[in-house]
Amino acid sequence: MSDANPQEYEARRANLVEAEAANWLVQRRDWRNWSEEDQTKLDAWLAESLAHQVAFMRLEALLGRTERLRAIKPSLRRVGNVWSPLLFRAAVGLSLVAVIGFLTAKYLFGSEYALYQTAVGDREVLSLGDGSQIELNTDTTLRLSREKGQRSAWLDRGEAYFQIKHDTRHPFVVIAGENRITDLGTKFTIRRFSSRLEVTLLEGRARLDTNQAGQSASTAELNPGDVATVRVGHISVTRKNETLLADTLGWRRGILMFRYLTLAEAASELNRYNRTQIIISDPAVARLRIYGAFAANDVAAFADATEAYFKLHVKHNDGLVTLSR
Amino acid sequence: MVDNPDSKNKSADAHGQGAGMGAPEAESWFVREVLPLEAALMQFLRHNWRNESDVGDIRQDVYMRVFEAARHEIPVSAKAFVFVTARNILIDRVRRERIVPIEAAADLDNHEAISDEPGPDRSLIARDELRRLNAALERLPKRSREAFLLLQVQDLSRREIAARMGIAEKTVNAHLSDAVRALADIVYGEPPDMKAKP
Repeated sequence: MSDANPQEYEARRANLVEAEAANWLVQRRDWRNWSEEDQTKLDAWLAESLAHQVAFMRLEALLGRTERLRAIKPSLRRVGNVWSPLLFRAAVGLSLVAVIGFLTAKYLFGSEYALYQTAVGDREVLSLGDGSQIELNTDTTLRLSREKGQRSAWLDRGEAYFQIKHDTRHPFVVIAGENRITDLGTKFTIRRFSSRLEVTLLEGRARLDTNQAGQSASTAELNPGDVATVRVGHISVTRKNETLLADTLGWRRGILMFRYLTLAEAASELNRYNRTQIIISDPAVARLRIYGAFAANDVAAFADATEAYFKLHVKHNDGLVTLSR
Repeated sequence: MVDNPDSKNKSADAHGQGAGMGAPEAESWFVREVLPLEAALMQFLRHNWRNESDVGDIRQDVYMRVFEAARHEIPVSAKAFVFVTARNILIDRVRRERIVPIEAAADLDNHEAISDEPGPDRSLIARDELRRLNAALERLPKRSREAFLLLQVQDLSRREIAARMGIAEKTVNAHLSDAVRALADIVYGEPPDMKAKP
């Protein structure tokens, strides 16, 4: 084979091509250090030959698989069973919970606020008159100001995704406890945990101000990909890549993405969405790490996976699912 | 997911000459229908080609021809198309090299016995995916796996990985490339291990 005619098989260099393709992928995966110029070079390399494209495609698909198992069809289908697009549209259209919430609010607060609440496992999309939208996740309470010309919301509990139409003269403000998020034309999520607040900015810009009693006030300007965490009046900002950002919004499609999360963390996430609660008492089991996409409302599927994967013992009993060795 | 029509257009353009007619469809078809056949294809190639060191090149050649054809028109049956292509390539090679591996001649005509019936239950595959990826990860050399997990799971930059592991950035690159290639060979190239069941 060594005296082969070079033009016969472009594929003869398969090994070399594959090494180059892997190298490109790894560089691109290091997204913070990937420039427009790099992209141009990669495009040129791909355009050079079909062999390059094919090798790149194959490794790219592999990397995608390790990155997001949610692309697997069956898990999506399973989600679809419960939150089919039709059902989802109906939920948005009727917004029953929201309407009831609104009536109560009117009664309780006069015309100052509209109150919206979602039950465990539910989601709601609120369409505001100005084209903005707010999507409430499970077990969430949000109030909207009804004052004319004032665009404010109070996230009292839970998590919400905001897509705000920017209006320079009337910035949209979300207040979550001692923290205030001011949009500068944005898409962002806010989640309240018991001891911290997390703001993830997907598009545009926003400002976060925190002013907890006894602490000095601080401010952060957020750019796309930024995740700000506020703990006792202190803000820290980290960044997420597109994949991880998409994970943050998985709940909008009813999907939770766990990337090597401990079973304890994964269970507490799932427990937010379900009345059926997962219990793990063995610390060794709680420390096991799991990777995969799960339907937020399918505790049984999650339990099955741990059973199959870690050979755990699963006990269903009266609204509790216990995982043990 | 964030709606961003701009970024969609960009990724469609990002494949240079591949951005021709129907390329995105061909790509997704390739990833969805062809790559999962890799284990069977490799088995077929190994069985019909004595020189193991050529198999990677032959696979590459099969993929190129299949993808090129798909850019013009997506074949009706991926499986039939891939194996017919593989068979033709092997026959070409046999002719060119004027050696006839005896076992090949008989087998090349038998491959069509490979049925087109649906594979194993999809949900089984889904559940298996977790296990498979983890098993594949465990088989990587320790340093490669470590670097790969730092990149994919912790989302560190290559510089940060180098600092964390106390090695040069160049070595990190090598570990990462090795990891990606080895994982692809395991995940696509080996038959899935279906024996572990709940």
